[in-house]
Amino acid sequence: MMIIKLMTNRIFKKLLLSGFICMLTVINIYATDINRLQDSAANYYNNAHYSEALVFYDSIYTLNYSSADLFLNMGNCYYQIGDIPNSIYYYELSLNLDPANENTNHNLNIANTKIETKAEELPVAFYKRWFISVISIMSADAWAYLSVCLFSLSLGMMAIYFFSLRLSLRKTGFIVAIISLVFASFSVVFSINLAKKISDNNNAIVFDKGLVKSSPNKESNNLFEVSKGLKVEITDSLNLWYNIKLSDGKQGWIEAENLKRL
Amino acid sequence: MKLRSMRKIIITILIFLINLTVFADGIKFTANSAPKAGIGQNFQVQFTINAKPNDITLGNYDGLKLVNGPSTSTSQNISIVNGNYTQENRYTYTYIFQASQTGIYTIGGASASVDGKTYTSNSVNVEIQQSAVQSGGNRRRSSNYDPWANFNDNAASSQPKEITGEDLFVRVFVDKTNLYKGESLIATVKIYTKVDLVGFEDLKLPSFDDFYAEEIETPGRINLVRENYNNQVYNAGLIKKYILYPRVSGELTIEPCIIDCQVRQPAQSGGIMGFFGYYETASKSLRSPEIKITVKQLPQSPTSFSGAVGRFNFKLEQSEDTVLVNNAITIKINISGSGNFNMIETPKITWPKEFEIYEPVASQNTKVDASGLNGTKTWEYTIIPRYPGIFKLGEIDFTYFDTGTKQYKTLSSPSINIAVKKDKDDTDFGETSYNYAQKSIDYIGEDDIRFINFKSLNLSKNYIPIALSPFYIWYFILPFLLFVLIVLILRKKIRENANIAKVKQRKAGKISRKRLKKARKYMRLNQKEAFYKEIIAALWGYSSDKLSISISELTKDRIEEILLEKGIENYTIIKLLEVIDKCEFAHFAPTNAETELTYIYKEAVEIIEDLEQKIKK
Repeated sequence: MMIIKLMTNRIFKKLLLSGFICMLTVINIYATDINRLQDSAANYYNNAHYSEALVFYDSIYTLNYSSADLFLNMGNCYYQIGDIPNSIYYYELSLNLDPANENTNHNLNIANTKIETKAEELPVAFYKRWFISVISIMSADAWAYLSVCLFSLSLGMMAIYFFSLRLSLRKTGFIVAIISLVFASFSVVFSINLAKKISDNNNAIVFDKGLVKSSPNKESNNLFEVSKGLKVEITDSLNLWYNIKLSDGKQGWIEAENLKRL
Repeated sequence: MKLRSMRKIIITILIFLINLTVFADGIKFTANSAPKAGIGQNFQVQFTINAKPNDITLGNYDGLKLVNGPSTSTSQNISIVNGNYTQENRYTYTYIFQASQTGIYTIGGASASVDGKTYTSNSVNVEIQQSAVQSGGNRRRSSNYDPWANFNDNAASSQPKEITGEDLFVRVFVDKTNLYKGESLIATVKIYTKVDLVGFEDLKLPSFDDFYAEEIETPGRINLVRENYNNQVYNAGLIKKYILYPRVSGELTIEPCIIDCQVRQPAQSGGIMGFFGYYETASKSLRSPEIKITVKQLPQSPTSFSGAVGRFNFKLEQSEDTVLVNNAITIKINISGSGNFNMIETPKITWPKEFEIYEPVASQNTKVDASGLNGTKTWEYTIIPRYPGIFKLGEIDFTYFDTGTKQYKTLSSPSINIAVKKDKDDTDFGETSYNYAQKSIDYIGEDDIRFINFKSLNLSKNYIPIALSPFYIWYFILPFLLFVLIVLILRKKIRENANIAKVKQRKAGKISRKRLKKARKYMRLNQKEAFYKEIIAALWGYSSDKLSISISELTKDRIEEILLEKGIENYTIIKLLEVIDKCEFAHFAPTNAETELTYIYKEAVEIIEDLEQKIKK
């Protein structure tokens, strides 16, 4: 009995071990595959075979991998093959993940100059402008990590406040705790704000030039025309129509097929 | 009957016709003109009719320009021959024409209506030739009589005669015909006359195309003065005077000056009326000969030559020699003297690259007189230094061609030095590392997108932002739990510590009394060292336990501080510290006095009892 038990135990352990090794290798192969895909894409891009590079990047994307850099590279590919709406789409996706990326912002600006029309930006209230510029310093995850760090710092400082016998230490502990708590809560807000942009973005890029109508049916009045590549905000939807808002404040309904949501 | 009446009608018609022709015969309507005229020369066409016309209309005169007309004049001729009285009236209509091209021109017959009938004159042909016709052919009879005409002393004899080129001519004089380019010459247009000059009809001055011409002011009215020319005395009139600067070198031509003028002479066919001074005014076209001028190229010039020819002075003014960065300096270059100011180019100055240079403002203040163009020309530079430093621009040379010595002459300004300070307190004039030749980098082509990220893409699978992941809240809950745990542990420990301190406090008196007992034993045995040691231990220990001061923090100052906080009077505190001091001192340098030991012992006991009582409260 004992021997059998021991044997099975051993076999089980071995199996477990080999399984573990197998899993490791699978992950490894997978990782090298992805790396290979990346490398070939970069190679193709560098040799001006942009559509081939795009195929590789696309395959990475279809494997559910994503990153700001991947989107940036895809946007570049689309830009190079002359598909401006798609390039803007991917640059915007990239910026959602990493709003501070200087290269992406630069490329997006250049791609935006290739659009036929542009909507003048309405002047934004100063606090909104500040909010946007502050929030765009880091990515959503960075804000999340920062919020955790600040929260922990706040707790540590509170501990000092509670238990230190020195008055000066207690004072600084209290002040730092309050400040870091405030900043931590700001970071949480920023992080959630940015994260929502990634998962549930209400912006869209116009992919087909289309007429914007006053109500969601084909018979209604034409209001204005939007050209390919324009970024619009979706404020409402009905059937297969979206109510969109341009950055200059114009609003109207457009068929959903003309847009691609970010 | 019928035939008779027919005859009657015919006769009346015939009579009427005869009558008419007779009447027509009585009227003469003729046109005459000079056969030849020169281009641009005025010539007259006269239409004469011996009855007063109501209206006169010119015929066709294609290609000609009607300058003036009609001017009307009337003459009456009464003759009594053998008792026959004849009166003749002549009406003359004078037109003045001009042609601009050679050829034969026809002036069609004019039509005049007299008493409701229309008459047409003959047409006349005029040949227009290249050169002006020098004859006083086209005369116009005029009846204005000038009794002072004879007093207007001139060479015109009362004898009518043909005016020749020697009697009346126009000349253009130049003071030199051989000169250097840029040198000045003076051209004078003069008219010489021996006849009675009445006025000018047209004045065509040379255009001086190859020259820069500046008119020298002459009196507005032309004054005739006696002058000897070619051994003959003329009345000479100065028409215009110019100062000319040749623009190009080579053989240049001054075109002829063409003047149409009117002269008055006694009428040739004056008859009886000549006695009363019938004068004729004739128009005459004068043409001066062309003048050739040789303009020599200037000799090989130095590089600083800027086209100035004449005599000049050169001055340079600098507004400041020490400035702050980005503050403007003006530098004035001033050239004064006489010469071809209009042809002087801006003197070349090589500015340092650290300066921003604005286009110089040139101003010229010159006057023309017989000696040429005189005055000054100024260039004002505004320069803005963009970098600090000391800049030596050196001398600026101005070279001109001296017309007196026929040589180039170079004038040099004092050297320009500009010190540019970084700021007010800058004394070393920014002697730091500046590379003045540096240019800012500009895009050559259109700005393009940046390259892809070819390193690691930092991929993550099925990415969900942390903020939206369910774990996010745990990142806060876990540290908080840790915090609570730590707080709880610390609190417990603190409480325990507090308990220990209380026990110690309670036992402090006992322990110290025990130590004092020991000390008394040593005192009796006269073991001094052990005694002091025990006393110190008693006092320190008591302070530490009673006042809850950890051993590490145990100092006299700390003890004093806490005792004062607890409201112990100064006397006791000082005594305590004194005893500690004494013991420590004796511990290291023992004395022999036995009384000292008893004294210290008593003091220590007293202090401890005292503190024991007071701190309890």
